[in-house]
Amino acid sequence: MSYVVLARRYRPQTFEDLVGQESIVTTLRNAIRFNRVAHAYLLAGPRGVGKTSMARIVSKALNCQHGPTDTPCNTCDICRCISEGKDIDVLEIDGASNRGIDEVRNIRQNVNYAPSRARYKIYIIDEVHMLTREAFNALLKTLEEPPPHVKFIFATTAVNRLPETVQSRCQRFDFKNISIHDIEKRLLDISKAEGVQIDPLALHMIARYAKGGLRDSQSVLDQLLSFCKDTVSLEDVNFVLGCIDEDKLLGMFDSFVKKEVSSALEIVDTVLNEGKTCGEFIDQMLLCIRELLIFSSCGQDAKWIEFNTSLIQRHGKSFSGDTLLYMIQLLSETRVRTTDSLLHRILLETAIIKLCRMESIGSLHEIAEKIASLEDRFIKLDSKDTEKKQEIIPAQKPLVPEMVSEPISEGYTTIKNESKNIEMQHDEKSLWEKILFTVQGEKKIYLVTS
Amino acid sequence: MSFKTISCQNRIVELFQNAIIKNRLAHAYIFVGQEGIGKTLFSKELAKAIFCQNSRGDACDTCSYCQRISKDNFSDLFLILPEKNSRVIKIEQLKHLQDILNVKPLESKYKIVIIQSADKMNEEASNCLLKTLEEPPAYAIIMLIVTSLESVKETIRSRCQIMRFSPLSVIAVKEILINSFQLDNRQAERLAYLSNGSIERAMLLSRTNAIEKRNWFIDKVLRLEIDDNLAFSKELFNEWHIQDLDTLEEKRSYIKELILLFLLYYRDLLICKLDNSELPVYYIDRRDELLCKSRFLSEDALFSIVKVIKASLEYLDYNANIALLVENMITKILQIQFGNRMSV
Repeated sequence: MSYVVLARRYRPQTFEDLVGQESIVTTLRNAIRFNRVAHAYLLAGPRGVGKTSMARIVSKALNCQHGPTDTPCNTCDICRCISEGKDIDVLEIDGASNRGIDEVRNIRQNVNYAPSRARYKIYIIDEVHMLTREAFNALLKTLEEPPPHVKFIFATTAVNRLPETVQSRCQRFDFKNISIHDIEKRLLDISKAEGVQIDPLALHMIARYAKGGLRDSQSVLDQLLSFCKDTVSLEDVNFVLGCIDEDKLLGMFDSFVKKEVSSALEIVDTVLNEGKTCGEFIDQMLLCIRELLIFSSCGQDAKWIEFNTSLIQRHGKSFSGDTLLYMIQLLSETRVRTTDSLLHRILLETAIIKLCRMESIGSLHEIAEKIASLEDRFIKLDSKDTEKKQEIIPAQKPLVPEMVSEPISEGYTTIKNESKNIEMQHDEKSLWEKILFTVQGEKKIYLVTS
Repeated sequence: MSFKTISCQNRIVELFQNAIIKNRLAHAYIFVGQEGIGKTLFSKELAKAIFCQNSRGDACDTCSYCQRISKDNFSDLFLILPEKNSRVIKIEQLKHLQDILNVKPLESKYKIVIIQSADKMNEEASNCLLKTLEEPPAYAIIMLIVTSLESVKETIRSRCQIMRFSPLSVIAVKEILINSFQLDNRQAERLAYLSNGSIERAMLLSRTNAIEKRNWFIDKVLRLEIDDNLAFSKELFNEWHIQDLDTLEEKRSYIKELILLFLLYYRDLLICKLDNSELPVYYIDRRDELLCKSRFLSEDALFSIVKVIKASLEYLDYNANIALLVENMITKILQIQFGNRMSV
């Protein structure tokens, strides 16, 4: 017999097996225990968190030969048939392939017939969001008041695409993403059952990469097991996940600090030759910058994020917050949606050169202060001007004989001073223009506005 | 032909040989990598290796299965790709696939389906594949071939094992061009540098006489003056015979190549400006001229030029008028190049 992937072999078969959905499990178990099962359930949530598995477990619980029970036996004929998806009374329908009104009419016709051997006739419609509008509408009346022996279970990843009329007729359960910790634990169990040694760091890496989908992580683990001997190392995981070595990412930031363009571009070259795409590269850089940014603004208080210690140690203080924001802006501009790898590569290279050339950007606060102090000086200059003009007026009155000698000399000096002032003012103005020009040129104004 | 013909993908080959020998083949794979690096070739070789009657872990190329697969004439191997005159894979094709998969294999133990350009499946089609991809019959193996993972839905990704193909090295491209396409040494080498690791690109370049065109292009572009803008774009149009092309699609892909020429040129200038850099440049045989030219341009100007080119490529996707687009781009570039910023 051919090989069956881990995700299928280790599909949860009982309520206890389901990882990370405790509240939903409790609710449904109680419903079954106290005989308060609704006639239609809607299971919504992201990929690989257990919607289809839950639908099957619920049907087993309802139809198991040993009563409606919250602990289906998984040994009786009905349970086994449901697990394999070929039971005669539990119809698992692929909603994306059978999406038209004709298929739904078919269901409507068959709904009235009693189940052939079990208690209930259960319709599981997976990927239900792909039914057409007409199909949904044709289902409405049946869904509202089905015969007592019929249950509907819908599973979907895009619940917002279901009409409200359908949603209001179902009990809805929203599945959560599974936490990294839960995924790690589950993977550890599986690898033990498979008899394979896995580096705990590697497991952690897989769990992080899965972004909440247990099946994602199982697919990756499966891939690792199929080409590794008996142990799985971190390096293998990097290869399978398409992650970039930490060394290279750190090297990138080193070259930003040291402003070494060539070494930075060499890193880009090697990374791309390993088969990683520009998009992946930019994404991972962005993740690192995000960590640095959170560290620079919150320090160690940020408990919700798991810092990469070597990155923080090496570069936690290398860049100011605004510099990091600038880096994010530049890189996300480069993150274009294109299939042309050559184009993307060149854009990435230009961005990297820019990043290496980047001067440290002072904080917004500093710039504002500088502007304020400049303004102050302007105001002072202005007021000095007016004062001096006032001084000049008496100087122009040589009518008072006893004051003759003094005012003239005074007037002379003030005029001299004034001309000096005008010169200074002129300097100041051109200086201001220069500042504006450079600030504009380096896009720092951009930061202020955005 | 066997896995030996696959170059630069040693790890993936090793992985699959291991999986075949250990009988750990999964039911669904995604092969991802840029176009023209041998993903489809690999998937066929893999099919041979799986089906082969004589050896385990690689194809023997002598048994009837292997030979028939080479001739695309094997009853348990199916290929799905966008239909003619269609940019997408439609739901009907995948429903047909489901019908095929419901029938047991005719001759061998497996039934293999290769979906080429799987990123071209439309919304309905990719949803239709989900249940099949999750729990196909025990004998089914489905391979999806895509150029970028971003265009694959998360729900599909999570059901498959993802294999990343790396671009071919310059040396590998050169060897393939010499051995399989009978190009001479010198031409193969130049094409290999320009190919960015893709055989398909290299072949496209060689078909369209790209090297001569490039030489002509760089001769011209090195000597451009500020008021040459309109004349040069006209010359480009004539040289590339843009007016003779029939469909808009053809014109657009041609213009895209042309704009890329500009991009490569200015990128090379940028690289040349860096001190003592060992990085490869695309116009390798004109390096000295580029070096000389690069002294007259500031880095900032080059950055702005790259930005202009990027914007032009975007406009191209929005169906801008092609002649105006090129004229506009060249005008802007020259204005930046000669230090006369436009007030846009």
